[in-house]
Amino acid sequence: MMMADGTSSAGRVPTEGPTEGPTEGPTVDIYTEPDGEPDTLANLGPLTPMAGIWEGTGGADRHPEASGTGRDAFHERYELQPIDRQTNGPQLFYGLRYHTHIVKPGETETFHDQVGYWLWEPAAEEVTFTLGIPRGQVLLANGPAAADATEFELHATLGTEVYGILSNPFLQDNFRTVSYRIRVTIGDDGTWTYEEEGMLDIPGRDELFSHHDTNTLTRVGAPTPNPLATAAGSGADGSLGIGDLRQESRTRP
Amino acid sequence: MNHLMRELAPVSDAAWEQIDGEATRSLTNYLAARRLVDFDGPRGWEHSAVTTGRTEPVTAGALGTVEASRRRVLPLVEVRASFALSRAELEAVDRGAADPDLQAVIDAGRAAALAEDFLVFHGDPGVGITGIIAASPHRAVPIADDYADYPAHVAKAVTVLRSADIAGPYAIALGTRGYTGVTETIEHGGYPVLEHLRQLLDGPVVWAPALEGAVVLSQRGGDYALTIGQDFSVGYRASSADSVELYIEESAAFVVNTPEAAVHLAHG
Repeated sequence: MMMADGTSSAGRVPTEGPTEGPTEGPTVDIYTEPDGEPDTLANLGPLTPMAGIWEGTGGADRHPEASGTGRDAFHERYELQPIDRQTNGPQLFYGLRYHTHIVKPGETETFHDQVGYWLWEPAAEEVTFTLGIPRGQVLLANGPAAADATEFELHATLGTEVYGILSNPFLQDNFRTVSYRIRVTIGDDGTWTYEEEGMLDIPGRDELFSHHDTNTLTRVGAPTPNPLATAAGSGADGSLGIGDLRQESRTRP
Repeated sequence: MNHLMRELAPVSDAAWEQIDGEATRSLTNYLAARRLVDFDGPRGWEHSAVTTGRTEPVTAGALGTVEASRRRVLPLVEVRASFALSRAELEAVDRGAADPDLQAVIDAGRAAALAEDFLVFHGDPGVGITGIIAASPHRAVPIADDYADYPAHVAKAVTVLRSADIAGPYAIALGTRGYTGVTETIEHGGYPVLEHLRQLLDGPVVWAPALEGAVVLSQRGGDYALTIGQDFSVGYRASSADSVELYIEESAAFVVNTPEAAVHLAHG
């Protein structure tokens, strides 16, 4: 859950902890890491239906142009692959590494390219999303989502110390993204849909511009189990997970 | 449910845990080649062949005047070792038995592991796989049962590899006869033969029960590749009132990229 100061309560496990510390008052164990589970695909909460490789041909984009507003249709290929569990001390995440590649219909040239992570934090029931684009902009968005949620919305805001937006000087001066939100809806038919909006402050315009994108994605490929799941034999293939034994032979007495 | 059909088996979760654990212990005990060659996979049950980059000509026939060629691939081999377990023993696991009779699992694990290693070391023309020994162009180094002489044999093999521009580090896979002899033998100066071999090779000494004699091979990488589709798994076949039929299965292919990268040590 979000705290009043904007920080997450996740993993803030009150303990009797170390008796010596830099400050007075109750101590919090910020170092002890939970074990977690090896099979990420079985622990993704609301992100579970999104794992895999997806395509969508009905994308719609609304963006600023000199004359006002431009609109484009687009085709998209969105790949989300499970990563091994991640921790910040007591904070535990299960996540998907993603890459989405977008072209205009009938074209080869990249229209939009984006990479990042979708992360599920079970203890906090929150989803965190990172976005990086090859035009000098990154952001970190977050929002609440129960494990079985089929709709959730994440937000990032310019100027905050957490869940914020950073741009290069040109974008900051000319297309300043002051806020961002993305809403995900899991369909009953095995699809999922995102709808995202960046509010842009553009010189010479009286009002913020709503840069908007949406697409519905259909699965075209299964996810590849994360390395720990494969090694533990708990991957989707049902194998014993024996794998490569070379390292074992090199360390054997 | 996947092709292993485990969910259809009259086997409890606790019994599956015992079966999988015993199979894993048996396989990792007997497997040798995976400790020595490049490992590619697992690529999944659906993976059917390894690309060789080669083509072979075919008669164009109905294609008219155009030229046609067919890609040559190496199909994966499905290895399956079947076994049966008593339902009474499996039920005993659920009651907390600490000593269930799972010898059949161990035997199947051994059979499956030795099958994989046989394909790697000796190959099988019937399935299109050439093993390390068959591929090697080097004359075999003769060995006998005087294990104190093994360092000299291994040094000779390493020299052959170096002369062929095959860099180290190196490793040796020893059949049961040689491995037992080497581990039990002390050289005349009191130094263990096993340690002397490790120093000569700068790499591991591996027990390979599927192997006749021994093989010294480079560990620099890129010379040999074991491709796994479905890694070793336990599947369900059928059941009766008294027993459950299961199997250990994998799909695999093996490719020799550098035939010169190994020397066979053969009993004279």
